[in-house]
Amino acid sequence: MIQLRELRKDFGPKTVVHGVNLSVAPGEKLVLRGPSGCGKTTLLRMINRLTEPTTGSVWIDGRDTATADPVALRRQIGYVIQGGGLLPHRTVRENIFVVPRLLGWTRQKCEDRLFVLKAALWLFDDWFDAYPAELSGGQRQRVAIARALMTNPSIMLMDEPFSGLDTRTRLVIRREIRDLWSLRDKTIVAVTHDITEAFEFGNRIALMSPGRIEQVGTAAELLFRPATAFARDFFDQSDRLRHEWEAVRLLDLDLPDDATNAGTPTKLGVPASGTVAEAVATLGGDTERVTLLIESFQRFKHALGGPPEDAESP
Amino acid sequence: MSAHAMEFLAAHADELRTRLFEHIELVALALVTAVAIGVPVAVAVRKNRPVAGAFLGLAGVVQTIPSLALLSIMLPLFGLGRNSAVAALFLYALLPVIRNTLVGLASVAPDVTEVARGLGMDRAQLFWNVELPLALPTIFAGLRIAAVINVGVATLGALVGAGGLGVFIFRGIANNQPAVVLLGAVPAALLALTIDGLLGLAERMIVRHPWRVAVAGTLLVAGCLVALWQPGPKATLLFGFPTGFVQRADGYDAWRQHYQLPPVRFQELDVNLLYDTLRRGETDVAFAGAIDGRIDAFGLRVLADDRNFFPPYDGALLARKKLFQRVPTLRPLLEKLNGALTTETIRQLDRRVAQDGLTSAAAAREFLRTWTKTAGIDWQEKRAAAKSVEIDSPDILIGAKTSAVQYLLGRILEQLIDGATGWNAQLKSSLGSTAICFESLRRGDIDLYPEYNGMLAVTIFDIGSDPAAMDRLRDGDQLNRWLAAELARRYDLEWMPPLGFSSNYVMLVRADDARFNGIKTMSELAERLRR
Repeated sequence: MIQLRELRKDFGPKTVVHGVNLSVAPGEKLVLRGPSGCGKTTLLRMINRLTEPTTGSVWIDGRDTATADPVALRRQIGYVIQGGGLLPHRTVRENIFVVPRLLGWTRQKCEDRLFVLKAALWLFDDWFDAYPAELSGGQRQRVAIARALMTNPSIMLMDEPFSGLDTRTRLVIRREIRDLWSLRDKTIVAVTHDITEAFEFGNRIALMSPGRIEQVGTAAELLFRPATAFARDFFDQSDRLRHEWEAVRLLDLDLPDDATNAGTPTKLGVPASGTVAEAVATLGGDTERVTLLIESFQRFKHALGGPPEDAESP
Repeated sequence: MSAHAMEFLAAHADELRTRLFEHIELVALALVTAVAIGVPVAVAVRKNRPVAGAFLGLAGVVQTIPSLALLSIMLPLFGLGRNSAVAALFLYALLPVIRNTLVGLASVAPDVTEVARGLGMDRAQLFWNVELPLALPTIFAGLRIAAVINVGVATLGALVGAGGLGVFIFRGIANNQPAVVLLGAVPAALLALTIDGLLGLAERMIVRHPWRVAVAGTLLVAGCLVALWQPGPKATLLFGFPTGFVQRADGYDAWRQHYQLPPVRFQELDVNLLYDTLRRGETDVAFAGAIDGRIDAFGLRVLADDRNFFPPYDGALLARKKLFQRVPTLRPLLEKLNGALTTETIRQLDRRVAQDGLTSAAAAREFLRTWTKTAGIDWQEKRAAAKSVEIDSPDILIGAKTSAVQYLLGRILEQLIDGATGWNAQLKSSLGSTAICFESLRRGDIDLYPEYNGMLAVTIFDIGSDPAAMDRLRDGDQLNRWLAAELARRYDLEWMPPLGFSSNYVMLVRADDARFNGIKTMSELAERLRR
């Protein structure tokens, strides 16, 4: 359980984060999403005290982090950044063992833990004696995640963990990671600027305008029930349709091929379940909006000869 | 390689080994100190921009001090020999080491340090595990620059008695022996290249294998020093020799044989340092020019050359014949100096400079004021004194070697010509050795300079290679006649009548050094040393 209470950060005369209140439940995956420079990275870094808040506090499992030793605190929290931040002068194995070594683990204990992670993260034996520069971006990212998971922290902080990778690798790796057995029970706070990523990765999304949290909710809630003008305008008009479609798809609904013909459903999600009525119910009863969405989707389908981009192939 | 070259190398192998040892020792000590002090200093100040900037500025200022000047600044602080040279080399190495350490630490990728902090490294762990290892290649690049600079500058250490390969270079220059110069210069260049190559290799390996590099480097340097080390002669007295004395026909070896002496412990020093180091007790015995005012000023005593080993070193002017064609009135004027500058006169004038703080030009005018009257020369002091800065296009260029007496003589000539003729004379001093002065004169870069007959005979005509000729020419007048004829015939130069002073080598000790009580001659000293 992470709680941010009236968290505020000033850099000189500039206030980067204005009194944020937020709480993340155990096992929840919260994504911080907002335009660049909105303070999302600063917010993340205040959780493990890489940045000290100006005022306000961060509570983890009922304890104010300000009272903890920052070094000890950070050792209990996994931290992954864009590009991995692996030590270039150490082998992959040495990189992965950095934190356990600081904690005084034995070699055998390290190797045992690595053996577990190896299978979970699809790490290969021939990587371990290589240097980070010899791995691909996606491989490095997995190593960085393995490094953060070595001590099995209950909290993971991830700052743009997938950016800097090419689209294809990104798609594969974020699905792998979302489905990771090792991450399933972790509380994760991640920063991303990619909406699709935010939708796929997070249970909830905290949408930030510069310095403030505008709305916290699921993808569908953000799209279909925007709480503020900022939230409504955030999704660019041209992309809105695609995002809405993604949000609906993530609800794992069966949508009819023809909005007027509810008898011939098209499977869009796995597992297939639900009906248009359920979709409408989930999205807050805005029948008109859902009908519009489904019609738009149909137009896409006919124009492109299939569902819009980013659809999963069977 | 020719048989001759092999012979030359074999004859110098032992000394080459010693000099190489000294050279590596100088550079290694300076670099180790520079790293031991520079790296921690850089680490300590890196977060404080103004202080780091101040250190960089300071180190940068030191870097701009000419190496010879820096060496002479160190001499009174650290004394003669190794320490002064190491101190100067250390200061030169400091800038590249501090600068590269700062740059190296600042250029460690911020995402790497951030994530290392995020994973829970404290400041010390971050420094030792991340920042320092990643800065090492840059630090090594600085070390590499420092090392190459130091191998070069260390050759100047020879001038302050620190030894090293520079000994050969300066000895060769002083005696006009290119082979001896190469004996120092080539190994120095090879040493610089080798060190550069090895540090380049270390620079590439250091990040991944820091311990291997550290151990290999230490073993290599220690191994070199152990392999090259050899014991020096066991002797209590330390002799100071002028640069070049060792390899001369009228120098150390011949002198030792002449007086039947065992090898002595010696240091070769710049001729101007011999007196001061002897006075301070850093040497016990010195060979130096008899004429120097510092002999009296510093309370030094001459041991007589009772077996007539040293050839005469009578001073006279050496001039281009073309000068007198261009300025015919100059010859009669300069000929009047014949016999005017006795050893006593020069010593007194030199003493006025060394002890009373007069400028050389003022001392020169002091002499000319009285002498021109007795010689009946119309000399206008105002005209001579008027010139305080160098003029652009002088009519007559006077050369002088790097020594106080030569400088004084050059000023006398300059002031005399300025005050007594309508011509503009200009002194070009500090031309270094005999070979450089002679070569400048021959090429017409200068018109005349003061020289010694024995010096010309040994360094330019190499008569030392023929002992019979050497013996024949131990008579000063005979030597002058021979030189005048040879210089005119071979080089179109004029060897003028002697000025009156003689600057042959004498052996000096401190007058108050009780160990030399009762010893008045070299033979007596030799007898004492043989026992």
